[in-house]
This record gives sequence, structure tokens and C-alpha cells, in this order.
Amino acid sequence: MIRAIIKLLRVLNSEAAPAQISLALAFAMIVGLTPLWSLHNLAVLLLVLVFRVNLSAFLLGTVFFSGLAYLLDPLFHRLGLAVLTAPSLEGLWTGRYNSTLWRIERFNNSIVMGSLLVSLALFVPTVLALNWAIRQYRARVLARVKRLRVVQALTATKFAQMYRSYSNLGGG
Amino acid sequence: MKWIRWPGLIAFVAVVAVGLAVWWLLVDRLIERSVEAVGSKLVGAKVELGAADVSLVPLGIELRHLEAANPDEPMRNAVAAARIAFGVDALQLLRRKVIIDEMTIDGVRFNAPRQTSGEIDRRADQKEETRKTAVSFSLPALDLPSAKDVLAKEDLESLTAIAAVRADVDAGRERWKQRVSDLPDKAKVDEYKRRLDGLKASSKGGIEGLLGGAGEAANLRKDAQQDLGRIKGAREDLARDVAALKRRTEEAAAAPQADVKRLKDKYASSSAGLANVAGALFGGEIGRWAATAARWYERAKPSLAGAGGTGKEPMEVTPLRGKGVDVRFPEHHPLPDFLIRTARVSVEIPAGTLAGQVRHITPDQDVLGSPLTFELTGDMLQGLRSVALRGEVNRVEPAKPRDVVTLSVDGYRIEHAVLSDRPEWPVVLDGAQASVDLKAVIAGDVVDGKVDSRLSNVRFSTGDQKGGGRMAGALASALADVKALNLEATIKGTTQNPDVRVTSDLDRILKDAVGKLVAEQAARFEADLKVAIAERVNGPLEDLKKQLAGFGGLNDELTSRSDALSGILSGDTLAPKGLKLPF
Repeated sequence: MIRAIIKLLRVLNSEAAPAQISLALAFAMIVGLTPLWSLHNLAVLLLVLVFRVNLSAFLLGTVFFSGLAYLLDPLFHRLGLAVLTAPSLEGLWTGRYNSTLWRIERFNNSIVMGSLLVSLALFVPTVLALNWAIRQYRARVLARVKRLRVVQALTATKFAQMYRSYSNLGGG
Repeated sequence: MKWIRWPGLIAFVAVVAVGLAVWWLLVDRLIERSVEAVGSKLVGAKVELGAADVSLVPLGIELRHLEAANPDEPMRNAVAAARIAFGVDALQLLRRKVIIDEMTIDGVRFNAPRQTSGEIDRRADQKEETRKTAVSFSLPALDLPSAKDVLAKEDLESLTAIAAVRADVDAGRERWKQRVSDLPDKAKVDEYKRRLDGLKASSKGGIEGLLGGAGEAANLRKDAQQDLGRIKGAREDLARDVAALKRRTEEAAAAPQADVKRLKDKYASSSAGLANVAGALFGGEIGRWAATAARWYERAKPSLAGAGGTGKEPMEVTPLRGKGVDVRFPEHHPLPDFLIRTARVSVEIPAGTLAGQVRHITPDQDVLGSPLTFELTGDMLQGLRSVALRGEVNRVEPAKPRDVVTLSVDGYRIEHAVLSDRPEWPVVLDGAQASVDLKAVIAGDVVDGKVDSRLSNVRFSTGDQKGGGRMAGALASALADVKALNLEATIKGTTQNPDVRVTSDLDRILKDAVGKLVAEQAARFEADLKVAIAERVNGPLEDLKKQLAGFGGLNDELTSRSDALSGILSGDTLAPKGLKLPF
């Protein structure tokens, strides 16, 4: 938990552009909310590695959204099932169902469909909202946070030092 | 800021490569564990796999030393296979369909012993099933109980019938006494006589008296005739009641014969009672086979039921918790999710090796449009001339499941088959040559099967009978002379509760052998019963007859009153002397 907080603070306090962080968290949202072993997550991984997004934020976000997904699965199931069984979309899904690529994607699973739809729908709003929030944080809160004793104490721990050295090795 | 980092592409390739490498390293073990876990769940006993080997080009799997324990006998394997090899259609696998064009299954063995117990969770219902298969059989006894002992614990229906008639006779007599007392009696007749005397006196009083007497005489005659009519009616009713009671008394008198027959049928062995000896000897073994087959059939049924999708319309598949549901849509070229088109099988039995094939193994026959078929044959085996097992498991229309199996065995040598291990009548089939034809159809849960078998060169031995009595001795002697026999078994009922009936010409042979002995014993028992029942029934019956005779007195009384009234009404008595009455 401490490690996660330190990570989060370090990411937020780093020199990384807000867009790098918000994009990483938005990609993490897709990977975290949808079942891990899905084809689209491979594509997301490719994008995360090729685009210069913040990997620490991505990993942290993935863990966070995976936990959230357990709570939201019933909602995803209902939404996905409603979409998959909508009579007006039957032709569309039948076409996809007969495609090997889409079958690998498991789009016909209610949770895959529901969670993917939600995460895609929230992708752009999440990026924009997080961009704004990070900018606001850095402009108004960062200096005060750094002065907090608890933050100073946390950043002075062995864990924090180890993490810093490890993080410096991997870049951000 | 640069937005693209090309080394990320290399990292991606590296991540994917590492993932594939890990999968490749673990896949054999994963398959082993999956086979063992799923198999154990399906069978209800340990399923163990020696090794699994996956090849990528072409994509295929080889399983070695697969063993499935028998849940009813954990120290034996229900089935074991030395090697199972098959190729998988890679493209279809990407579509989450396991399509196997050809599978080879070598070295299949049934009922082989195990080194360790294969028990995982012995269920109570299976124990119950095992118990149910045990056949209870008791040898018909020639040493019958005594008639007195039988009557001490049996109620006689004849006594009940006599008591019922007796009660009706008593009630009838009381009723008739009351009715007779209400009818014109001697006092009434005397009154008529007095009125008649009065008339006679008035006829001597001149013409007025004569005319007045004529009117009174008419009234007298009318009253007397009415009373006479009532008495005659009562006599007719009485005659009817008495006739009915007599008929019931005769029936009650015949009831002891019915008691004799009923008790004789119940206690005395007859040659007809030997009709189930063949069933008792062979039915147990056949019943056990049928029950075992039924049990395995029931276990296999869920695997045959499939998801039920016809591929013609979208449908939901029941979800695993937290896993969502997979919605199926129509496919352009529908294929089942799992299909083995052909499995070539070699089965090792003690007599040698049987070879054959199983086609269209799939839980989704409705999607494939073809039933599962199987064929297994063997010739010139050790102690077995030929054997052929063929059949079909048809779930093409899931609502109308229909399965057929035929088995033809020729020249099967039977040695030392224990048919009865009961101490009073041990029977061992020391040797025989058997030919068996079996056909069974299972439609839904209903079984309709028939087994025809012919045994030749038969040798029975019956050992020392302890407490079997004369019946066991007679049957043993008859069995020793049997050289050939036919055996027919029918299997009816449901797959959960198959009912096996066995008939054989052995029954006729045994019946003939002991029939005379049985008939003599039954005749003696019948005679004793007749005497004992007569002793108990004759008293009440005689009493009943006496009570019935009591109705004769009532009839006499009515006759007497009727005659008296008739006398008054007769012209000689009623008409005055020298006067002809006008009626």
C-alpha cells in the first residue's frame, strides 16, 4: 500500500507530461476492467509500449482497475448481455461471430462486451479529465504536498529509496 | 516530446515471446492437470495421466497411461488406455472449437487392478446402487409347515363369510317376527268368526234382517280379503328373503374350499414356483451387468447432452459465476464446440484384442446432424470365436434421445462361473460354450432390451447342499443331466432402475424333475388343510343352517293364519244356510 502511494506520488510529481500519465491510466482502465486474457489487451500492451506513456502509471492503474472490475462485473454482464441480445444488432454480431479474429477476441462473452464498451466509452473522457486534474494538482497542490511531514517521511524510507533507484533504471 | 518509442516494439515482441515460451514450458503439465481434474469430476473417481505431450506443427497431443478408477471399486480401473494421440484443427481452435479429425486410442483395458485406491468421494447413492444389484434367492422348500401352524397365523375368509350371513339371518328373523306380529292373528280370525255368527243370527230375523245382513256380510268379506292379501304378501316376501339367505349360506358353505386353495397356493411349493430358478441363477449376473451398464450410461449422459445450441438462433449458455455468459450466434458452417470425427480404438480383453472405431464424438449432435456410432469387433480370440459390439447414441434431436446397442458373441467358453453360493444350494457352471445376441434400445430413460443366449456342452456342479432338503437334492440331480440350454433375458424399465427378467428352458427341465415330488407334497398339505379348516368351520356353519331353518316356523304361522282366513272367506262358512250370498 505504501509502495503504491509512493509510486502514485512519484508519478504525479515527476516530469512526465500529464498526457503521458492520463493516457497510461486510460489504457490501464481498458486492461483492468476487461478480462486480462483478451485479444484487445495484447493490442493495448503494444500501444502502451510503443507510445511514450508512463509505464508506472499504467501498471498502477491496471492493478487499481482490476480490483474495481470485480465490483463492476455484474454491471458489465448485464450491459454486455443486453447489447449482445439486442435484436437490432443480431446481424452485426452474427457477422462478427463468423470471423476467427472476433472469436479469439471473445466479443460474445457478456462481461468482455460490457467491460470493453464501458472502458472504450470512458477512454477519451478519462484522458481529458485526468489531464485537467494532473495540471490542477501540479499547479495548486504539489508544493503543499511536498511540504507534508508524512510525505517527507514516506519518501525518506528505504522502500522509497529502493523504488527510486529501481524506477530510475526503468525510466518512466 | 517524442510520442513514439521504437524500442517499445522490441519490448512487446520480447514480452509476447516470453509469454509463449512460458506457455510452451507449462502446457504439457496444464493439459495433464486439466485432464485429471475434469476426468475425476466426470467419473467420480481418480483419473490419472502418466504424461501429456503437445506438438505444435502439426498441432497435436499425445496422452500416455490414462487411468480412470472405478468409483464403485476404487482398487480397480474402470478403464485405462496406454496411448491416446490426436491432431487438432488449429484454425478451429482459435475459434474456440476443438475439432479432431482422427484419434487413436491404443491399449484400452477395462476393470484392471490398481496399485492405489482411486476413491475421491464415495457417494451414498452409489453404495445403494451396488446393494440393489445383489440378488436374493431362496430355494423352494418341500418341507411345508403343518396345517395347524398355518391356520394359527392365517385368518379364514370362510369364517368371516359365515359370520356375516349369520348376522343377517339373526337380523332377518327379528324383523320377520315383528312383521308377523303386526299381521292379523288368531284374535282377528276369532273376531271375524264372531261377526259371521252375528250375520247368521240376523238372517233369521225376516226379510229386513236378511237385507241388513247382506250388507254386513259384504263388509266382512272385504275386510277378510284385505287381511288375507297382507298375509299372502308377507309369505311371498318371506319366501324371497329365505331364498336369498339360503343362497348366501350355500356360498358360505363353499368358502372353506376357497380358503384351502388360497393357503395351498401361498404355502405349498408347486412346479410353477420353480419358474424363476433360471432367473435366480443367471439373473443376478445379468442384472449386475445391466446395472453397471446403466450406471455408466447415467454418468455419460451429461457429456452427451451438450449445450443444446442448434446454431440457428442466438442463445445464452449457462454462465459460470463471475465469468459472464457466452452468447451463441448462427454460424455459416456450424460445427460443434467439441468433435472427434473418428476415434480408432483397440481394446485389450483377457481373450485378446478387439479393434474398432467410434465416430462423431460430440456433445452437440444437433449441430453436427449425425449420431455417435461405434463398432468393436474381434475374431479367433482365446476362448472366444468372435465378438461384435455395435451401436448408436443418437441426440440429433435432443428432445428425442434414442440409443441402440447390439452385441453378438459366438463361441464364448465359460469356465467355473459361480451361479449360486448359497450353502443350501451351491451351483457352479463348470463349463459351457455360449453364444449371445443382445439388442437394447434406450429411448429417453426407457430401456427395452433382449438377450438371447445358447449354452452348449454345459457342465453344472452342485457340491454339498447343507440344509437344502429334498428339493435341493432333486434339483441337483436334474442339473447334472443338463447338457444344453437356452437363456432369454428381457431388460425393461428405466436406466435408473432396470428390471431384468430371465427365462430359460432350464426351468422346464427342473420343473419336470421335481414336479412329481412337489405335487405329492402339495396334495398332502391340501388334505391336511381341508381337515383343519373343516374342524374350525363346520360348527359355525351348522349353527347357521339351524338358524336359517328357524324361518320355517314363521312360514308355518303365516300359512296357518292364511288358511284360517281362507276358511272364513269360503262360501260354506260365510253364507247362511239356505241363503246364497250375492258374492
